[in-house]
Amino acid sequence: MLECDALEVAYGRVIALRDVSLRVQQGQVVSILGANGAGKTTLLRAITGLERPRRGRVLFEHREITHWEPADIVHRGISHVPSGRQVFGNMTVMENLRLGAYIRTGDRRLAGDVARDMDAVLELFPVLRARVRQAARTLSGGEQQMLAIGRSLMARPRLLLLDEPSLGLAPQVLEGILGALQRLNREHGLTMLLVEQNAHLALDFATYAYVLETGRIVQSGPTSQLKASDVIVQIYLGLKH
Amino acid sequence: MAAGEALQFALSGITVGSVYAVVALGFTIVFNATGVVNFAQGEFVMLAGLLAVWLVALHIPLWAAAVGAVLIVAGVAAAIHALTVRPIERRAGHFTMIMVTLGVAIMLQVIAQLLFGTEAQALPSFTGDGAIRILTATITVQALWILGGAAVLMAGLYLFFSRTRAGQAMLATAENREAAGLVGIDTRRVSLYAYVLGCGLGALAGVLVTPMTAAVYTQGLVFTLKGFAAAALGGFGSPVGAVIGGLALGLLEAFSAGFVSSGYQDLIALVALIAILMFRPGGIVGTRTLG
Ligand SMILES: Nc1ncnc2c1ncn2[C@@H]1O[C@H](COP(=O)(O)OP(=O)(O)O)[C@@H](O)[C@H]1O
Ligand SMILES: [Mg+2]
Repeated sequence: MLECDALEVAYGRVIALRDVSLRVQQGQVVSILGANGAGKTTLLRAITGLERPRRGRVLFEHREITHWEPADIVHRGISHVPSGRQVFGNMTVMENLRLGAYIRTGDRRLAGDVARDMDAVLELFPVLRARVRQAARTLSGGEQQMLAIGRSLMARPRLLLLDEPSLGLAPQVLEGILGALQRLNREHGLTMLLVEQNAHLALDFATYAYVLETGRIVQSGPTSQLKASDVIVQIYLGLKH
Repeated sequence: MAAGEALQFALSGITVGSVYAVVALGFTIVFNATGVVNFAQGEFVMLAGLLAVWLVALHIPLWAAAVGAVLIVAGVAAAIHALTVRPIERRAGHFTMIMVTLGVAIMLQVIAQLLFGTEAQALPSFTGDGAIRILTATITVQALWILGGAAVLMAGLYLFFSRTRAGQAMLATAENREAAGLVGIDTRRVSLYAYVLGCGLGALAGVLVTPMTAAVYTQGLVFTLKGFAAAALGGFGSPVGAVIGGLALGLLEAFSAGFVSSGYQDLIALVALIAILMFRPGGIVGTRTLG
């Protein structure tokens, strides 16, 4: 479904990603794990057009999307839950969710669909329902993460990209969010690519994982195999191969 | 102070202040959506006034001349956006942007001088030169047009931003351009629309105020100064602040002209601007600062 081919991304002279290739199959949950600064955020940003790769290609459903604008990429079916949540803080929860469906709200015939999706998101994250008229900046970190995910779901993506949804969340809150994501994958077949610093989480959540170290993929495989290897130790201690 | 005089000053202060408020709203909308502090803002006020005068001289009915002037200015703004804003927005530093927008301001002023000459030119009042008495004060009918026009514009903007898809897209882009792109908003197009809307508000202020002040090619800078001071006074980036700042500046000018001396109005705007930037950089409503 998604294919990255030898991607290279640089910020000025700093090369953040080098020769990164990966694949995500339809219906799969894949994670990318790596320490702080490994290039995880850069990778997702390159996929959704927020960074321009210097080399390499991104293909989605067999079509090259490498230098597309972010707005065109979400139209194609990829939705990105960005690092640090990036909700529209001065706008209400409801407005945030409606903006999530922006690509569909221009067409009145889809109003029913959008309303149903809104309901489904509030069903998935019931704590948001009580807060629909509240400004997003008044929400807790966990609620903002739920809103950011809900906003992305409102675009009805076929592929969801998640940038460290665990960051700064209490374990219980995180568990609730991960449970909701798992249901989306099992019940609706939503494909996901998750980048995480938290290796335990990334390995438990996904079926396949890539390990990113200073901009390169250094290891990959089914998570069951990676769990048995010493990959977690390597990430935490930053050991080289 | 005599209560009667105070009422008169208040009325004229609110009238002038609502013009400043509309200009300041234009500043704010452009700044929020593009990150550009538009020092050409006042030139659109000037240009619309002169264009309306010119169209009236061609025997076009006043209302059509007013609408036409605003539309022409909107077209000019779209062209200026494509040529000067798009290449620099979100990339250039404040200094570059100030230079570029000042350059645009000077260019518009020169073009206006070449096209319309150096004479101040009068525009007829919308519905005659009458005035009505309110208690101890009088207010001209044109001032009522200004107040009503400004109120309608503000209500319209409120509805636009809170109820329409395009308005919400503009707010989202202003708040977080990247996140707006990620939900599918074409942020470059939003930037164009916001620039045209902001400059169009300047033009509307221009056609409302010109029957009271006459139009001359040099007057743009004064409106830029007043609009900028009003926006800063209220809190740069806040639409509510722009309205409050505009009214506050208008009142401040009217009362000081009444009690001290007229002729110091422009100085007052500058002093107010400097004072607010020094002592309360967030402005009256104040959420953001420039910089
Ligand atoms: N905007 C930027 N400008 C310059 N360097 C950057 C920028 N963003 C990230 N980097 C650098 O790129 C590398 C990868 O960063 P990032 O993708 O954010 O890593 P991660 O998300 O894995 O923590 C880091 O060395 C970081 O310092
Ligand atoms: Mg990151």
